Amino acid sequence: MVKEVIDGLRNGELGADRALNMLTANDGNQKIEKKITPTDKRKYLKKLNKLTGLHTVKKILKEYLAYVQIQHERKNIGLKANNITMHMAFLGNPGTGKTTTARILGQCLLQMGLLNKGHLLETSRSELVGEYIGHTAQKTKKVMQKALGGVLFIDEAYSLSRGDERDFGQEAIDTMVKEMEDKREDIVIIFAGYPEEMKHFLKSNPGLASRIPIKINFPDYTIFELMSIASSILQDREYILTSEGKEKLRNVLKAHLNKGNSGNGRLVRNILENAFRAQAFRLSFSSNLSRKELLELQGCDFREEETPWPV
Amino acid sequence: MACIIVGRPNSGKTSFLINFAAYLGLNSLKISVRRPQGYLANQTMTIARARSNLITCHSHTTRNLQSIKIVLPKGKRGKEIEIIDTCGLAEGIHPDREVRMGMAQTIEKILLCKMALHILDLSAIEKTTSTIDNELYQYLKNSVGYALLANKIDKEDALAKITHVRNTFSSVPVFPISALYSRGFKEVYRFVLAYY
Repeated sequence: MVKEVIDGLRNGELGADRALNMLTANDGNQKIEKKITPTDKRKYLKKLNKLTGLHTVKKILKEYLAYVQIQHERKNIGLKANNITMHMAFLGNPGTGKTTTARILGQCLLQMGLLNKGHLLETSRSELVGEYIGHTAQKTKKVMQKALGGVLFIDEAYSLSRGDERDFGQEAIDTMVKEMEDKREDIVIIFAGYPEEMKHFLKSNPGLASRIPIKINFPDYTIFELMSIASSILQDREYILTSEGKEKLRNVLKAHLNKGNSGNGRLVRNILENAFRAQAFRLSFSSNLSRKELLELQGCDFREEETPWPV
Repeated sequence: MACIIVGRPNSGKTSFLINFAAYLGLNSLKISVRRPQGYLANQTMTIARARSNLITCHSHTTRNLQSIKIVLPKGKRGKEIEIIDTCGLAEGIHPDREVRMGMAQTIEKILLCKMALHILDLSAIEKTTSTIDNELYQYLKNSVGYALLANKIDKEDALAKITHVRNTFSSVPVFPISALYSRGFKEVYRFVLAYY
């Protein structure tokens, strides 16, 4: 219906007023139905592929997306299709790409026509848990209402189950369990947090773990992957590394990893931010700067002793 | 996250986009233009250049979706939103194919966007509001992120029409603005910020 109306407008068979009128009458506030072509598939998987590393994550998500799509297509032609529960748990340290992956996943599901809006709503304990009895359920339902048609991303989800039995976090979990079952086709809830704490969280309600069929581990990045993240940031910001700078960056990253800091994207970004500032300071004493000088980050711009990010 | 600006031709959509971006502190605009063939063309220009190049007194100057991205101060890292300017929607069948393509693009985008700012030209309202404005209202009124921006309050008699507009479009928020002189933007900004 929507497609015919828009084609009619394009071909001069309808005016914009008439087109809008027909869409309103048809309750046009619905997604544009479209058939997924191989080109579309490539397009939405491209963003996922662009993420550095995360090979297992990508593999699981691709399998999952294919499964969801096939079930949807089976349903469309009247075959039996399994009920799809799309909720997930992302387990990993901060900066390992959980939020970015969730955002891309929302877009993928939108383009596949499985979610109406495909937006990502990031939330945490403070937005779900209330201050008095009965307040929590209201707050949780409100957040879920806002996320309908998209992805609800609950960061540090384990904090909901960390208090004692009087803590309202448990009420939020119980409300969510009910809602995630009732609205499972309209919303994807992603619970994210550190692996160990999340194990405890998933045990906090007997029905919770079984309603989250997909649990994905986000490993810390390796040195090679961190260097690759650095290279894409540098490309984006129009900087280049000299060979000495590259070596120094590698050493700085190694030093951080040896100290027990988790290798994550934010660590790279902060080391580079420091380097950008150091380069600016170094250049500020010279005049007549060449393009090459403005582009290059040298070894002396990276300092090992600094801890740019509290990891 | 995208916010679409819709309305009749010459209602002030592009003026609003540019001056709202300036109000939010942008000095230059990186404008992405979505051609009906599907590809994106990017161009960067200063606010002053954008005003002189993109705003005219002729109808249908904007024929493709053109958007800018801004970061709202929200959350830990801020929220990036895309504000999309569109081809104006006119009543009846337009003789120019390119304009029809632009209008089709606009309607397609309305179906996908969560937030819509509908610009209403107060100077064009006489006794009744236009069919297009009514149809847009009927279509969008149930969306949470929908607001009417009653534009051109700088013109004579415009303020007197605000009550009429509020009565006609009673179920949505109405913000009186002057897109040309950047008036009333504070309320619009608050609305956008609250929604995201």
